[in-house]
Amino acid sequence: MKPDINEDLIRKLERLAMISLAEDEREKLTADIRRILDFMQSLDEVDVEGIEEMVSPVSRPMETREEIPEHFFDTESIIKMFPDISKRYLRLPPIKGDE
Amino acid sequence: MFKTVIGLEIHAQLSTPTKAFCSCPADTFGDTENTAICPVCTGQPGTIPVLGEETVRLSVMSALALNCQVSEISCFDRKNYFYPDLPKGYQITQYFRPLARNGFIEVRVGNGRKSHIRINRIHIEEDAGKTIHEGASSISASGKQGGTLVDLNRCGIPLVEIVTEPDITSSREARLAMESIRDILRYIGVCTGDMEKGALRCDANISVINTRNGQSSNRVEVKNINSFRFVEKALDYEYKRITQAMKDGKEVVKETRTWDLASKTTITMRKKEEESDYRYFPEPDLPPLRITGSYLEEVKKMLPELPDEKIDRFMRDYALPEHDAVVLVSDKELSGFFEETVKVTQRPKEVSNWLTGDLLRILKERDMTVGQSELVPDHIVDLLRLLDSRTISISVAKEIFSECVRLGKMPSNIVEEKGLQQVDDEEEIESAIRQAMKDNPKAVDQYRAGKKAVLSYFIGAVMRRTKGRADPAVAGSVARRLLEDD
Repeated sequence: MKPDINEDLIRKLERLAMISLAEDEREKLTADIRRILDFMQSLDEVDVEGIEEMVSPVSRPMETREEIPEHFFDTESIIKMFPDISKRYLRLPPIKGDE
Repeated sequence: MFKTVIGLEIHAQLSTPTKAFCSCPADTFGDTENTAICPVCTGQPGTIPVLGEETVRLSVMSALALNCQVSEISCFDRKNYFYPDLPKGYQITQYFRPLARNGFIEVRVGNGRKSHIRINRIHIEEDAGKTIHEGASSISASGKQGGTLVDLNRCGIPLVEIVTEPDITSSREARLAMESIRDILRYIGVCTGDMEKGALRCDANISVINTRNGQSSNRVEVKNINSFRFVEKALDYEYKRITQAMKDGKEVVKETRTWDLASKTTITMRKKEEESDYRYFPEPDLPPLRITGSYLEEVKKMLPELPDEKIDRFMRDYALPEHDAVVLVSDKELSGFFEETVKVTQRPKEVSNWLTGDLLRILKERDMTVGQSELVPDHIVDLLRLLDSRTISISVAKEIFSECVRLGKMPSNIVEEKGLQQVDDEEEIESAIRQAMKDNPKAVDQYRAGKKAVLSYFIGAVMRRTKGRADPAVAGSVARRLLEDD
């Protein structure tokens, strides 16, 4: 199914990408996205009946790690990168937080 | 008439030795801030996550215990959001292909009835760090006032998220479902279930349907519920708020609210419309996770008897009422202690009375667990023998029991040391009653005028005088004789 590329969607994408577009850029982008999606739609013509879905391009199976706890030897070097600290806390400007 | 529809999202910290994707220790509660951190969990460039084997095993155990179908292939995805509790800028989770689906739990709602609550999915994800919002009075190393402090020790600890279907129909049932999931996770040893320490957290979705006109309210999400009591309270509050709005013909806004401890209400956190899109995409650093049939079989063998089965067995094999069985089984140690004791005494109901009554009360008063108490099954065996032979009275038995729990002494030794043998010498009891009659002639008159309840006053007087060693039944019959004869 082809999604409807309208102004609302473009504005939503702007917000998610944290960019703001000028009106003419918005028009150009709308046309571009339509063309890209049209092209992608040619994939729908391929018959995939009976073919197993490719879940990942990585063919190597997941290898898990034995869980032996170990403190990283140089936590100080990480703390040194904090722009500001308080005791060992990373200190930030006040966040009027919701969490 | 209004019908409530509730679904829960539960986050449970897995009791693994290490974090999900690096070797930092996972048990960091109470540790100094930012000591269990490394380049992987703080999102340094060039690092690669490697999934821990215990994380997989405990997640699969959870899925099996909650009757889910474990997917042969599940995948990890990135959930992108920007907040300082997550330095990578994304959380590794399983969005498109979760570990398991289609489970259920049977929740005991009382009177032998069970509610069937379906589980939609279970997936593995990593926890975020902790942020603390400081007042203006605090000053940083560089001299700045106020601020937000971040501790990344918790960042990367493995969680399972358990999502139920909206099958829950009341706040009470939500609480019971939550408790039942906690009990299961504790039994199989995958999570401590400690809500105060954040090892178990719950979000609830609630909507209300007006059954008269079939109208349904928008769905409201209540986040950050950190105790079983608050699950119930927050949902009660929401039910009232939503039904009132519906009665008034107002729209119920689709939003996320949070339980506010101070006002005992829920308050708006964010409107759903503003919620950011997480831009999920497959985690390129982790290949798909394959769970083979033989691995599943192996994990299945590790599953112990689950709480629900155990409650049924206790009711069947020990002829216990449901309430006793539920209380005993809710604590794995307690139910183990019960079974050990009953093996020797063969008197399940009496043992259950001591454990679910006196023992739990004493432990609660002292903030102790069964394992921390000094009580052993032999203490109860000995105590029941002393009661059978009428060597001690029930009130003395309770006193002795408390000492067993605290000091671990054998009841018969305590009796010997303290001379607590029951007074069965009627003369001693008689003299105690005569004294009480002399002290309080008014009570004697009242009894003789027909107020028979005064008898308990005389029994009480005997118990006081003998320091609880008298047999109350004997004291009662002697008192009755003296009061009616003289």
